[in-house]
Amino acid sequence: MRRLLGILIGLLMLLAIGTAHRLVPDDERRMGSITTSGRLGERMDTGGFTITVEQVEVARRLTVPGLTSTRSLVTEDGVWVVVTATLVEGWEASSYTRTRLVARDGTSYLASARVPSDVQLTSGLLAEPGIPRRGMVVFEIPPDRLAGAVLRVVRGDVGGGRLAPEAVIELGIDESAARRLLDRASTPLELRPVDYG
Amino acid sequence: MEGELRGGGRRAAGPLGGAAGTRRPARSGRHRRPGRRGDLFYVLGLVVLVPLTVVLEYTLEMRTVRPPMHEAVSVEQGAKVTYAGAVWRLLGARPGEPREDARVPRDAVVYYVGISITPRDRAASRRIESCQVRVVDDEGRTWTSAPFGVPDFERFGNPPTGCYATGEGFSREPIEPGRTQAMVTAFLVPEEAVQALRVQVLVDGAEPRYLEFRPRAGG
Repeated sequence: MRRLLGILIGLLMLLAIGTAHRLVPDDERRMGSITTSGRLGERMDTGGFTITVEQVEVARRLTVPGLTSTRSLVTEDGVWVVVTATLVEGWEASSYTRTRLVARDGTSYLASARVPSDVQLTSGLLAEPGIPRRGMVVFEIPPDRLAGAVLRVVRGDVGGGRLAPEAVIELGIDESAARRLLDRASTPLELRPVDYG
Repeated sequence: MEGELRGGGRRAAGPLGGAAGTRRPARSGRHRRPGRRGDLFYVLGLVVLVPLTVVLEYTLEMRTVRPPMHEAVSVEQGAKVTYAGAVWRLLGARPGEPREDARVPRDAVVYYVGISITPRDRAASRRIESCQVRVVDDEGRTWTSAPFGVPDFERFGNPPTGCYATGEGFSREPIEPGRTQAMVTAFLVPEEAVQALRVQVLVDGAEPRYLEFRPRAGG
């Protein structure tokens, strides 16, 4: 009887340890970014930065003006999603290289590395507090991931940014809007370098 | 051989029959369980070793972590202060004239800061070489050096823009010990922030102290 009781208490303790372990918040819950939600055209204040997404365009060919000539960037199986936005840093110079476009099925796309960094609003250049910067964020994605896509702009580099402010922006691309954007995708889009807003 | 077998047979023929053959020999005094004194050593060992391990782990961990810069040494413009083995003085801090030939955004200004530095010895010269200068406002907003091409350092005679001396060409070297060197750096800040700006100087290894200069109005 005592032996059985001992085994029972042991099992209960194991159960308690397992339960306590599950109740401990994981890294994402303890240190994940602090999100603010908004939509296209809305000025969003995340507490750490403000952002206004002005426009979303889709193209299969991009033109990149250079010092001496203009070159083209073509995507064969995918499309270029070009988001134009104005970003104002709140506290200190930061980068936003973790910014991504999240498809409806949860697939995340980082800003394209094929596009020069002086064009990408969220890569390379740092944003200074109180000084608006206007530019584009360019993603290369499969066309069927366009409908329902959401832009997530988060402060900090990849691997950093604990409790970082993050803007989750509904781009308003439902099925019909996605079809309209894809229908117009054959028109090339010209990229412009990041500038002061 | 046979005798040995018979011997075993004799043990089995004891008063308890076969059970007597499996009985363990009596324990000698050397194999007795430790007494209270032995238990006390175990407990004392735990009491000493566990805290010792914790302290050792904490000490080793803290050696790799530098304390944050959280102790400001406030200095008025023009006053001298010793920090990180050098004497520092804020010469001036003010916004520059509007520039037509540079990309300065609307409602923003280029804010110039001049500091004089006199390292006491060679170690200090090397230590301060990678100093960080920044400006902050009352809201805690922090600005680092303005992007290349925005400030006009020619109007100051192209002085060093950091805590170093310039050598031949574009080379930089530590300031000569005992020599006073002026540096000028610049920040791109919103116009509305200028009145509240303070200049901070941070040197690696001088944690937790950093300098905070309060510029005079009008620079």
